[in-house]
Amino acid sequence: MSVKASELISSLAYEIVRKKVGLFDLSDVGVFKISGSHAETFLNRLCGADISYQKEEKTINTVFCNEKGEIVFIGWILKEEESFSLHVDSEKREFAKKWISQQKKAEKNSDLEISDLSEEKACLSLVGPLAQKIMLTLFGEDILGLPYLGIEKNTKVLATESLVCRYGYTGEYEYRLFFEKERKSDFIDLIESVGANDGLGKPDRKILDLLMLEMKSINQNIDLSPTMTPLQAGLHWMLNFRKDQFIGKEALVRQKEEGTYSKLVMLLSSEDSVFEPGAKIFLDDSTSIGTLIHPSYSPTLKQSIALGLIVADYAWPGIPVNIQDKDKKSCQFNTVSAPVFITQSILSARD
Amino acid sequence: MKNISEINAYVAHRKDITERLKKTLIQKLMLQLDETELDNDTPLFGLGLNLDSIDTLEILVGVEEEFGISITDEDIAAFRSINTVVDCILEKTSQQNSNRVEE
Repeated sequence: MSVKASELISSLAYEIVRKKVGLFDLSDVGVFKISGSHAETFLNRLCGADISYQKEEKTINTVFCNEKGEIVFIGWILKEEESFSLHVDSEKREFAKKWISQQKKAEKNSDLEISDLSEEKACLSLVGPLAQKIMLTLFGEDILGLPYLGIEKNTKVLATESLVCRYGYTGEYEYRLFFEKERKSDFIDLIESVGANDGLGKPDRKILDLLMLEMKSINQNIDLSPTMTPLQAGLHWMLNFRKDQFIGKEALVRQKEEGTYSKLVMLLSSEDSVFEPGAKIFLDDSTSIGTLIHPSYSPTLKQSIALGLIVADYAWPGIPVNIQDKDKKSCQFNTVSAPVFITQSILSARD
Repeated sequence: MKNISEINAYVAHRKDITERLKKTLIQKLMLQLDETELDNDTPLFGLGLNLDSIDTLEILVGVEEEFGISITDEDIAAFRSINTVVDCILEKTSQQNSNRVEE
């Protein structure tokens, strides 16, 4: 009997994060301090965003590309009083460290310093419709005014200096707390006690991959091929084409002007079948228009959900397609607009 | 849609609506962007374009003026990305056209 896509999803983990709140330990993220009189110029040359006007209370989520405009990694830049912090996902930590160190070599006559603080910092993430309620209990009312990508420094909790960042890649309330690693168990105990009556759980963090997929938030560890550009991934908002220069800008301007690049598109199917990434996407029996990148199953929609890389002419919502694997198993999907639904957190924020 | 020519006609129509919507958004919200710098699935609110409730009103007025349709409170739920707004416009214009035929 064939396996169904829905059977591969942990429905308990999903319910915790979509209906209550999940606590995730992300302490293996990369945290780098970049300092020196040329730190801003250096980072601005590397990333797609313009950090010249960055405020200290905001983090910038941006993309780092090579000369061909292909994404090398996605990161978050935080402005400190006299330096910058660069945060990257755990999977990209060593790569990013090596890459920015190589870029540093190109800086001549510079007092630029890059320090790896990853082993010193812990990072916990609270995600779900009740995450804001728990953060409110812990950090007070200031948390209510924290915008997306907003930052708040705090010493109220456990008399420890911590940094709270608000994210939003799952469509739910989503906060990350950074603090000294030695206080990690104290923070976990405190959060668990505060969240006990709200159904706080500690699901496997793999569930975040599905929640991000449902919102079409790009997961750099799953959704990007080595040659994919920010324009193909729909990450236009992480770029500033008005900035004088950044690595990959010329290639991206060319791609933007030509406009004929394939794009990541959301796909839905009422059939509950398992497909592997790499399966082909067909418009009819013989016209191949793309490749399946990230298949899964959405418990909210009760449908198979996927990201596919589709040629520009058909990278539009509302098109019926067939996905076919190497064994010729096929299934009908439709390209759809994203995000595919409104989450409980967004609905409660609107009320 | 059954065949490729129908799909191609649909894509051409959708592309036209999308480009008009992007121009409207850029003009109404005074965005320092051109149409090629806006991805169609980028969230309008939160991460992405990071618009606010005042911007929603501007978009609503702009869409009603440009496409000659009426947006209700329930339709606002569709204002999640450029693509979801286009879905709403296509549905509304299709309804209007079928109402005209019936009349």
